[in-house]
Amino acid sequence: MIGLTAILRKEVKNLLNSGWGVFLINALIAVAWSFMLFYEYGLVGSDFGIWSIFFASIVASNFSGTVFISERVSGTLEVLIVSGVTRDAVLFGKVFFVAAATLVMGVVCAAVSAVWLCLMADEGTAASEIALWSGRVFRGAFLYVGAAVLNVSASAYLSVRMGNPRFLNFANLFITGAAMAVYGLVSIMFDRRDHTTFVLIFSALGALFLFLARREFAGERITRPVIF
Amino acid sequence: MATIDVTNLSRSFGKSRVLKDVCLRVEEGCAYGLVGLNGAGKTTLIRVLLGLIRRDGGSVSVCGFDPWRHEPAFYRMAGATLESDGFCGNLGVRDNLRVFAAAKGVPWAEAERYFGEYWTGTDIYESTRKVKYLSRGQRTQCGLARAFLGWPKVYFFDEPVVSLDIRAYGHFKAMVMEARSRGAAAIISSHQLEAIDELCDRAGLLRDGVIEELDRGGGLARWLVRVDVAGDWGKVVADNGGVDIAVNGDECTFSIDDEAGIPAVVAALVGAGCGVCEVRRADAGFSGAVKNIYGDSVERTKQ
Repeated sequence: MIGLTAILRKEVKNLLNSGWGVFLINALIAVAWSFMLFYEYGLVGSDFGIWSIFFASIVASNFSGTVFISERVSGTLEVLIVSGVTRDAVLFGKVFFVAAATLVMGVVCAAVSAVWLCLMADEGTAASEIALWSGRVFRGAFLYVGAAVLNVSASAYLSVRMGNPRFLNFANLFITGAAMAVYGLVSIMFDRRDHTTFVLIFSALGALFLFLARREFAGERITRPVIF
Repeated sequence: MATIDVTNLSRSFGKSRVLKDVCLRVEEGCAYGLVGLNGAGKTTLIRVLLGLIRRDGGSVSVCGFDPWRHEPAFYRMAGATLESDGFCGNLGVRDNLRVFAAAKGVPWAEAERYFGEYWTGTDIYESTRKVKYLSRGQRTQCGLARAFLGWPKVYFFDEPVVSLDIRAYGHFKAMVMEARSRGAAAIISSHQLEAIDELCDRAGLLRDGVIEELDRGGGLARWLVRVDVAGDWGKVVADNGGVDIAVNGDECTFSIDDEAGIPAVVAALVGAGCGVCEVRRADAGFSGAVKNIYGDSVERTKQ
């Protein structure tokens, strides 16, 4: 896929060269949500399901806004395309970057949450609590990745499909709500602590959106100027 | 084979048929000026030729490729500047060029050598600022540096000179000439008609969805020489095949057809004791042809 590494390098450098405010906001998000992760652990029957879906959507939307919308609006995509980067490379490079950045945020958040747990657990039970917590976080991580893939793929598709891509954040909120509704409904039929069903559903929907996004990226809508 | 070969190209947006039966051939080493009023379809034509939008009918061949097939090999042969400069604002000039060099498959060492060889002394060469802090003209220069990267075989410039200062414009002109000397073809779309005159050897007016070839001046390159009448100018004019046009006060103007003969004429005039005030092209150029076509409507608008 010609140009994939160029796209990835560009996105990473773009993020690293962002102002300190971007890093501060992401750090605040990670710290704030780490409290929720820690708190939810204490709830009876907690499985981090809702937390995983919601946090993945928030973080992925945050990155998608820059990576998909701003480039579409500024007309950068067509310049990349005429420079020799294949359209698939543009799509998958961006999707991979947002998914990876979302995953990194999840890892940071979980790490901070682990620190809270270590600080607040009783000395005698700390080891067993951390082991229990780690197991739940590990299972929740799959759901987190599934929800992130769904959100990123949907963002890639909608950023091209929507006449006004600046409304993408609202669309993302809708997708997040829909994913949580699916989670709630399917929980009635299946054991919600077993995330496999949800991961499969989200991954299938993500693959569908990715397929649609690929079709949009191959067409001419992607290069159509966005005028508000 | 022509580098750009377009036959009966058509493209509509809804009910609006922007391009009807566009036919165009641009040979190797030729720069083709594309002019037309706002909304005439110049940008649409360039976008079709770059494969950014599809055509409704007709055939398009650029360097032997059908652009809509989006083959990477085609884009590696093409350089372009579009409405958007397309740079990543958070990166500097060099970092941006590095991204596009990788996209074009040009090794960074080669890209850096090109940048140093052809862009030293320009605003952008020494710049270490992020692109988002550069002026519009400087970003345009960055876009031009990107377009010429790897010396493609075909170029598409959509309004490239509008924000360039006189020095940057001169540099762009030199780069176009260099590219042409390497056998590349170019399409330059611009409302700056004087630039089209200087940069292009052919030009077309896009009007009502078709291209009308413009005539620079009947194919005859005439040169006007204005001298003071103190010396024996009449003999020089007669000896060099010049045609007397007018005597105005203490100055006279005459024309000659042979551009190669200009240095000899000037030397003879100076030798005969005449002061040479001005030597310039006398043909109307593409700009004159366009002004002739739209002159009436411009006058009406003024009134």
